[in-house]
Amino acid sequence: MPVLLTVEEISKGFPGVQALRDVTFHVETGTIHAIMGENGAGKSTLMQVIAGALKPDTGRLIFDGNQLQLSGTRDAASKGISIVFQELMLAPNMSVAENIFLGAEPRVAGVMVDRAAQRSQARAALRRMGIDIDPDIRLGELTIAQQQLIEICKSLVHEPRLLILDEPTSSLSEADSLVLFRVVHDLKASGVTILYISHRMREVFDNCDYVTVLRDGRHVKTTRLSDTDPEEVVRLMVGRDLAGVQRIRPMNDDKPVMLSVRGLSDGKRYHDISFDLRAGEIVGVAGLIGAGRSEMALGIFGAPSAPRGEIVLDGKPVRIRKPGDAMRLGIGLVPEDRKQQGLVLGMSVGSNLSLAALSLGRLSNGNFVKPIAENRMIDGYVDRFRVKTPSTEQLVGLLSGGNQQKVVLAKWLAAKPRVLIVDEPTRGVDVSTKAEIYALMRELARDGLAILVISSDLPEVLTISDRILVMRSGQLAGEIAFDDASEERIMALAALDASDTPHPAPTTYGEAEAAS
Amino acid sequence: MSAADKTAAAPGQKSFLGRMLRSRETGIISALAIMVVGLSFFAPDFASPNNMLNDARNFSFVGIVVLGQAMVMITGGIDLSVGSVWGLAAVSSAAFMNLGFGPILGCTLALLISAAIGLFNGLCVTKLRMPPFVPTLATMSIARALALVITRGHSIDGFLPDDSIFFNLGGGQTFGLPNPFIVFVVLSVIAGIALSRTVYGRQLYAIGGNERAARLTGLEVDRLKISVYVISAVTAGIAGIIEVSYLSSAISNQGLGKELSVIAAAVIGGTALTGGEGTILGVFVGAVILEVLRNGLVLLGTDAYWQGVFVGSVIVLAVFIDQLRKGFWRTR
Ligand SMILES: Nc1ncnc2c1ncn2[C@@H]1O[C@H](COP(=O)(O)OP(=O)(O)OP(=O)(O)O)[C@@H](O)[C@H]1O
Ligand SMILES: [Mg+2]
Repeated sequence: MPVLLTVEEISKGFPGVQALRDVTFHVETGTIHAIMGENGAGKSTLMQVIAGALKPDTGRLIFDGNQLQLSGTRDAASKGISIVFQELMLAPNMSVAENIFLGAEPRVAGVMVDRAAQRSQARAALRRMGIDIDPDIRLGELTIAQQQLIEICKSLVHEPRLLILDEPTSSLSEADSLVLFRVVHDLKASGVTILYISHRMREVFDNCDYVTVLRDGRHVKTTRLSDTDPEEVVRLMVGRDLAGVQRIRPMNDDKPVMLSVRGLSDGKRYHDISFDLRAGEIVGVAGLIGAGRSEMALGIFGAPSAPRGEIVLDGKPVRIRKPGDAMRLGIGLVPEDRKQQGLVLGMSVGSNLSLAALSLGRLSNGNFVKPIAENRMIDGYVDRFRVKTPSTEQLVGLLSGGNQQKVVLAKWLAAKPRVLIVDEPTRGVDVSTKAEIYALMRELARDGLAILVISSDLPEVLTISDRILVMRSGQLAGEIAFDDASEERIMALAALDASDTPHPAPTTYGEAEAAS
Repeated sequence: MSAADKTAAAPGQKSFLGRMLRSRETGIISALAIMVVGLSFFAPDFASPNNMLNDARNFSFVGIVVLGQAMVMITGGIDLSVGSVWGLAAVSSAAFMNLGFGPILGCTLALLISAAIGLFNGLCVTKLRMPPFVPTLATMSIARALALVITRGHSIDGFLPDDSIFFNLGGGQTFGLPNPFIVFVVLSVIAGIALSRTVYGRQLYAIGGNERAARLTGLEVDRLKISVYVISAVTAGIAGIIEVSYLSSAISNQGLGKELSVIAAAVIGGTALTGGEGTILGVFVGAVILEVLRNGLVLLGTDAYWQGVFVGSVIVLAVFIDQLRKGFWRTR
């Protein structure tokens, strides 16, 4: 097949970090080409260079036989290259149609936005992608999965020949990802070439034609996926063999119940949730996006607290009215959205890491921070999680996505909770770090930490959980014991008769494929 | 392993120079140095000890208030009421002393009134979820009106015997330095330590940087925000009282329009209006720059009516340079 894009000796450095070194490879027309690599390997940086969002220090891009000189993403879009960034960049208060045409509005007389045209073109674009979403609806009302599709729709406005998707599925459940892949395959059929970043091995092998592996900013290999296997790709990414994480049979029956939730309801997003969590136990919470899992977790954590229901900790009923209460009781919550809820992007890696511990009065003498103790703690966690950062003073917003996720996790472990709720703990985290995080969670559980893992990543829930709770439209649909756990069981419980959900749109498309 | 190597190597000496160059204070301190050298050259009067000491007194009033304003701005807020609170504290302290309360009680009561206004601002911002602009705009009007109610448009003077020690606060000197300047320096050191070395300071930056994340980390966001509005109002009150001591009389339009100088100094000093950024060293220098600029323009014989144009240009220039430093133009 003809080559669409040649990346030639591209290098790019940031202060303290050489993100890309002499990267060279080809992308063939009409293929789905995966880019893989560990967190901080330079994938997003490379994609931003190709899409004109960053200028390379050296090297050339040859697109369709011509050398590219890009002045920005808009310029790249006009030349046929569009990108969907790792972090969503939509305006939640504007309508779907407005978001799709942001910056490319159809005009009347050159100045006025032609709203009617915008709406009908948006509807047509959505229909072309086979998505049933009203273009007039406020974007913020959509699920993350739907917003992700809107991002793609937006990038299709310029009719790109090369579409770059940077971890589009990291915040999607498997069922939701299927819709995305259907769209991606349709695009491929119509001749669009796709560069696709993901940390999910199975997804890549199921959908892509080629893979390019980066390690520490260097190009390692580009190959047909049919000529390789997951083990080899991991070896190329990590530079060594990586043992798969095994399931471990739990032995928790004699352990005391640590957290007991009774009839928790907020009357809207979750209803009548009851479960027990034992010390040293890792319990998974599976379900489709929008099933109310995160809201339930926030309800336990007091953000905001559930109006109905009871929380019993160590056999004593407790009142949790705000996150501070929960934290003082020894409950921690790693939230779902690291950018909005987890991190202060404009603060340093170190200050983010110590924030939870500091607000519990640790690492301080009265109100004065103990700098030596603080730095020792920070350095310890940065090493343990192998956070890739030039220094602990680096602004956390400048780290790669996966490394930011490690900082959020470390921040909560530094608070030394007895009960830890983690919501999508490995979103955007690479395979080897994922394995380390699982090992760490098990180690902490062995020391008596009770862990509730909310995850949309089915293999993850299966691997890490001692048992699995499944939520469906705000309710506990069932519990699966260790020996009965399988993807089929989870999906059957998660998606069964989802037609009676209060928000049908988010779940209906996923469930059709998932149930089949 | 490579990550661990890097983290171990980076915070050493190698990055020290880079950090100095990239730190925002370096920029404005050099700007101040250039202004001082330039003025000493073109307006020899500038460097005279007398003029320097005068300047030091003058920027201290605004400077004290900038300390509180900076804390408000770091949490992502703004306090427009400081000029009026300044005036209200000035006239009410004089009025209390006129009633025979004595300087200590009189000033304490005036500061309590200021704190009450700050508390009101803070409660509106947190419990009633108002944008900070609204309650502080309201109290700006209210406090100014109360100052007028107290004075009825006349000045209050002769409230203490001329030899009272109270007048030393604004007019006197210690170790050859004007007392307001000493107060400013002491308060700056306290504020600087609070912001950079305490949990409290860390939490203010976190709130300004990402309020939702701060809440989910268990920070008492409402209480912390209320505290900064109270501190801001109290610093305004302190400036008002010291000014009364300096002038030996109080009038209702003291501090009029000072909120603009205060916010300008904070912005020149690198405090972000969007919150999460700013340092006491920065705003200290910001306050000094503003006064040196004003004084310099006078000494250079510039038409007084044009002054605002220069001050405005400096504000825009300072923020522009700050954005260059942050690489704003590279990434977007
Ligand atoms: N604007 C920036 N300033 C400084 N360093 C940066 C910047 N952008 C990226 N980096 C650094 O460059 C390196 C490569 O980052 P990049 O985002 O390309 O990684 P990635 O492969 O996409 O990782 P992930 O899988 O975690 O998303 C990282 O070490 C990151 O910290
Ligand atoms: Mg990335």
